[in-house]
Amino acid sequence: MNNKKKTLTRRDFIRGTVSTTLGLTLVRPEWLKQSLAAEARTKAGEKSLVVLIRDQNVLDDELKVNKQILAGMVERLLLEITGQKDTKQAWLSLVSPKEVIGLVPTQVMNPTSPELLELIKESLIAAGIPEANVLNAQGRKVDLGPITALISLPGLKAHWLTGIGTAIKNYIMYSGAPRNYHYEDSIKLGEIWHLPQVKGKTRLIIVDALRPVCDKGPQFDPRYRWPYKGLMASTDPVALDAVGLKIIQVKRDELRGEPWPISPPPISIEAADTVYKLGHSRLEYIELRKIGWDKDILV
Amino acid sequence: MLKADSLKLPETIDDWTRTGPPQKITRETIFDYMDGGGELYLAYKFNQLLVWKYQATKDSENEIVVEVYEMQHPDEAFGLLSLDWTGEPLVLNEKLATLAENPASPTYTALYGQGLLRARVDNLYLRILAPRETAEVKEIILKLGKIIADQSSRPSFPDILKVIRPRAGSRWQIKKERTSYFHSHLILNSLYYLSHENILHLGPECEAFYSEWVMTGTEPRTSARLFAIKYPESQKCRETLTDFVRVYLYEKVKLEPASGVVEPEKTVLIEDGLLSWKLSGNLLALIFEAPDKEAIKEIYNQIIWK
Repeated sequence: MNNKKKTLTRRDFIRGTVSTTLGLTLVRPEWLKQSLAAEARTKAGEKSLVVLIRDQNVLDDELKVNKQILAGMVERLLLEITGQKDTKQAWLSLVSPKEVIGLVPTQVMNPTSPELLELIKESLIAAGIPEANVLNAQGRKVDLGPITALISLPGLKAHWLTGIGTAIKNYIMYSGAPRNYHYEDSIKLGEIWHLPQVKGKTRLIIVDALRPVCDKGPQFDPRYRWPYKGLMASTDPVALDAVGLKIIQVKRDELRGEPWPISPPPISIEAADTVYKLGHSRLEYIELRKIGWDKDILV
Repeated sequence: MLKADSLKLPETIDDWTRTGPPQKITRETIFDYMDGGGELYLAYKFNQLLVWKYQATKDSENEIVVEVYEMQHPDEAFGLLSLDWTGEPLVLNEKLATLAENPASPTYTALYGQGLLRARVDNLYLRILAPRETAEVKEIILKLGKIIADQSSRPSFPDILKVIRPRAGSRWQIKKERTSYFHSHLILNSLYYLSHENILHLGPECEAFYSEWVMTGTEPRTSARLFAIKYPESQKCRETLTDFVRVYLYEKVKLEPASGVVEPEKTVLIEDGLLSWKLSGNLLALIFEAPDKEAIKEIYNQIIWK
């Protein structure tokens, strides 16, 4: 039999040997090894909470956002995630008024709804965070030095180079070299979360799933965007991508009437779990709490 | 070959007004325009992109974006369109409406869906998009498409598709609407994932297509996939096959220790069914997920091996 360096292939996905192969093929730089060693996360017996909320009236017939309903959805998400009794307490359990908070929306393919971005900002200010301390922090030119807390607001979408381009990928611009994290290198997207200027700053991730995109582009095709009318929240980016992937995959299969796997497979999710220890990729380790409208929920 | 920067689009069209001169995107600036998406067009031998925008007089929020991608050859524009054959087929140039049937792929040259027109016009690939679709917007989009297509000549198809010769009476038939033409492993992976690495040594000098085949009379449909790749030389084709076998079937196939030569035709059982290859000159065909050897035989019988 032959003897060649192990390369990640389709067969690994079928056999369930992706993690093993990832472990063999990924080179970890020294700074990352130290960061991983310091990672205190203990996964045994601990599930990640993902809250999914939907409201059939959050978009009207022309797909315009009803901001009042959206505000109610955001409020409910915050209460569910934090266990607090009101929005102010919920925010203050995540961030302090002394902090500088960076909001990180998605800008391309399926941009985060401006209404969601505005709402989060208004809600933080109403909770007592000075307006000057709430910044837009998306982009490679952002100085993350003064920013002490990040609230990530990605749009739910498939991506042609990475399979899925939602929570884990939302910080790609912080790498300074996004092209280094495409194709096979998308496997390394999780390492961006360990960069010293990024690590430990993420307090909450709210995924905009009002109108997800289930095909991967690279350019927007309106036929693959549908009014799911949902938001998802968690502190675990990997769990959010795992749930988002499930929604997108089921929608794709439904559209074609037969299996239509996302291709290339989103290897960043499993690597973010098993290599970069950012959270849970397996659905059995995720507590998915579903609230509201459940028609065509897909998960 | 048509030049995108020679196109003259009207300043106004019904109640829509062009917002200014076109934006010109080159191979060097395409990543600024669409970040990672630029790889798609570079993989299809991209020359330049011209982008025009039209705004509605009555509804300043709505706009139509006309993107004209100039490729180096009509095959490249075909390849881009072939990545997704779904949508409403349209004819943009009535003078060229009747196209002979192609045995391997649909003959559509324009497809429309929910505010997006995609079309090939010689070596140009068009994407005309309105974020908010109405009946009036669709009409304007089609008018713009027809203005550009007015200069087109008769559509052609990539030569490699000619290797498919359907046989009447075969139980295995090609699903034409799944046939895609490409050169790059990035494109192959977006159609059918094999590996994140370029294990088939694909590149601009290769011509390849991906296709799906179904066995008639079965429910659910039994299917298989066929890729065919033409390499610039037979030697490169043989070397690629050897390397592919080493990486993809490393524990399944024994290579000749001295020469590393792989048999020119072989079928191997792997996790998702039978994988088969056949090599003839500079043409390599690979079948994936075949249910049995009879299926492989029937599919190979519909390829012209020269």
